[in-house]
Amino acid sequence: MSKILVVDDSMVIRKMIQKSLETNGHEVTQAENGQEGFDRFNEGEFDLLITDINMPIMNGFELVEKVRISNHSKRTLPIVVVSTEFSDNLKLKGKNLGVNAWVVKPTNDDDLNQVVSALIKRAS
Amino acid sequence: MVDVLKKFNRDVSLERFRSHSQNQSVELIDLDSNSDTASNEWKCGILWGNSQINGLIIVDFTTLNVLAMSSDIFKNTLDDKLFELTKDFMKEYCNFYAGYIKGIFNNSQIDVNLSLPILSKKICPESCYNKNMSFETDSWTIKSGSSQINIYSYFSISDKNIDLSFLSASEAPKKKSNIEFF
Repeated sequence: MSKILVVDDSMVIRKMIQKSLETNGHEVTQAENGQEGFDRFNEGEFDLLITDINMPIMNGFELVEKVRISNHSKRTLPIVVVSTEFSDNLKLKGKNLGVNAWVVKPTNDDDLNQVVSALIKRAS
Repeated sequence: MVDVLKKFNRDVSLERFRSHSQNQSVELIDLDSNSDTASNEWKCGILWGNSQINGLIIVDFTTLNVLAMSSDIFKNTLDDKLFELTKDFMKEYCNFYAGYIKGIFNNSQIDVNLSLPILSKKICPESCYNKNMSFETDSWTIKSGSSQINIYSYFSISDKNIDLSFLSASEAPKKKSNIEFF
């Protein structure tokens, strides 16, 4: 079982991702924007972070940047962007900031769990 | 150019709603101008664009209609959360729809940006365009059975030389997600 932090401003999307991951035995913590996500990240010991990009208060790129430059022992955890955004320049920006995988919405359970398993295996 | 953008907008709105609602039976029809929209409870809007071209999408919906059209999404949801989740679902739909437009433009080397989705009882398109600006409009309905949402699209092309030919060749949005590892 892995501890996964899910950051998305859409409650519907958070619930769908949570249900899919919990079905596969993972423990999920939710946050509704980048700032809340960064607060949860600092409070816990997560194995993987899933984040949206377009969010109020703090967007997903700012969150990734803050996580990667933090002093937290888990600052190198795998990060997956799950977003409606799919342009090549944004993916490149994400890659340069330290995103490990990019999933374009709509997601399905199989794809989501495939990317989570692959990144957790790669990190361990 | 205008007609190509209108068709692209309509196609994207339909395919995005099909994937978001997991309901393949939804269809697109022209908006009946005599239809009663006064009972529609909510409007969700999103802005996209740059200095050459910009658009506004407004989706007019009732929570009950959205629940009926997206029943697979909400089947295990507690009653007290249903209406809030339905509104959130429509905000995500606007994001999903405009995000696709943004991606197609950006991958054709035209950088456009998006606003966050806006949910309100009233959204006035004129407030997004100054008085001297002309804009195109289009409206249509997405329906499933007796339930429907109405979509109003407004856009303005300031740069008459902008090349939108890539829109004719753009594929309808993919139904499956797409994963890329870095």
